[in-house]
Amino acid sequence: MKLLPYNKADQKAPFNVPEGYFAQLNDRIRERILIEDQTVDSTLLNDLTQTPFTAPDGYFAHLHKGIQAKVTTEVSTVNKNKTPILRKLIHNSFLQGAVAACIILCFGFWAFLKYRDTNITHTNEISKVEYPDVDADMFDEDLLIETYLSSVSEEKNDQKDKISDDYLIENIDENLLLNEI
Amino acid sequence: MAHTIDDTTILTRFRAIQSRENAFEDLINKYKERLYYHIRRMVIDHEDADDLLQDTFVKIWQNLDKFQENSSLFTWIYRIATNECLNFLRKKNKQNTSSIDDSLYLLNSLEESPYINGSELQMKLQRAILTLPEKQRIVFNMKYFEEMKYEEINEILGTSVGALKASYHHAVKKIEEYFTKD
Repeated sequence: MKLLPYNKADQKAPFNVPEGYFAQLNDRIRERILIEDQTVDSTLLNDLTQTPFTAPDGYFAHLHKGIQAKVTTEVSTVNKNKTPILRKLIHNSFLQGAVAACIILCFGFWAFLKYRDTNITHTNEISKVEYPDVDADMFDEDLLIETYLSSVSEEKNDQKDKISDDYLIENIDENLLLNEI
Repeated sequence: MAHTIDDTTILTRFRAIQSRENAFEDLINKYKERLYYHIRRMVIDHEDADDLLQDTFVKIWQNLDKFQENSSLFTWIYRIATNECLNFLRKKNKQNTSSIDDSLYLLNSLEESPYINGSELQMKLQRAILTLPEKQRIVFNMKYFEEMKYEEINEILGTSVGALKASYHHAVKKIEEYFTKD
């Protein structure tokens, strides 16, 4: 059997290609080139280096409204979630007692501090009025005690002296006294 | 029409940076179908052909500015495509244990590819071609289907015209025998 000359009408037979293959081929080759050759000067593939992502018409014009609406929704959701928790806590009797105790303690402590401060202030004020150049807070406690004790012993000594003088005046023997002189 | 633009114009425009991209577009449009079927006849499977075609155009893009015009643009492009196919088939051959497996791979592709649609005679011719040694198969495809001149095939394959004529002659004989036997 002799091989006949090639029939040009059957050039591609028996090979077929998927529909639209050659129409899309250019784009696919360009994509491959961009992926394969990262060193390609971007100016050479201007249309390929453009980002393929686009936004819907008017997207950016209405973007802020969308964000605002979303933020509002988020806030109201948070508030809705918060309210029941707060209510639950309020209705918890143990928590109620604890809070009351804390308040009483705080008030008591505050009252104590207030009372103490008032006394201290009063004392200091008196000392400042009577002795304007002396600050009572500056006295040493030991020194004050020592001073007090010494003043008490002086008083006792004075009393002793007075008692002995009275005794001599009342019980003195005048004749004996004259003889002695 | 892009495919009517001559190679010299494409080359000139490609070398000018501002028109390079358009020139490459023209080059793709001019050669994509011819190259596709050239590759497809060698590797049979559409997916393989598609990969190799893209690889070929990537290499063309990367190297066209270094093209010295010692040969025509057409043969230079075909040489790249043919080398891509030969490398692909050799890799497939290495993966397989014997050359029989390689032929079987191509034959299976021919039988199973979803993008095959030809007459029984056309299919038989393809089966006959797949029985040929690799070099004869390539020469036969280029000469018989693509009607290339031996000088052009010589530029693409780097094989002497005499050797090409002999290869083609042997290929035709084997195919005739295949048809006679069956």
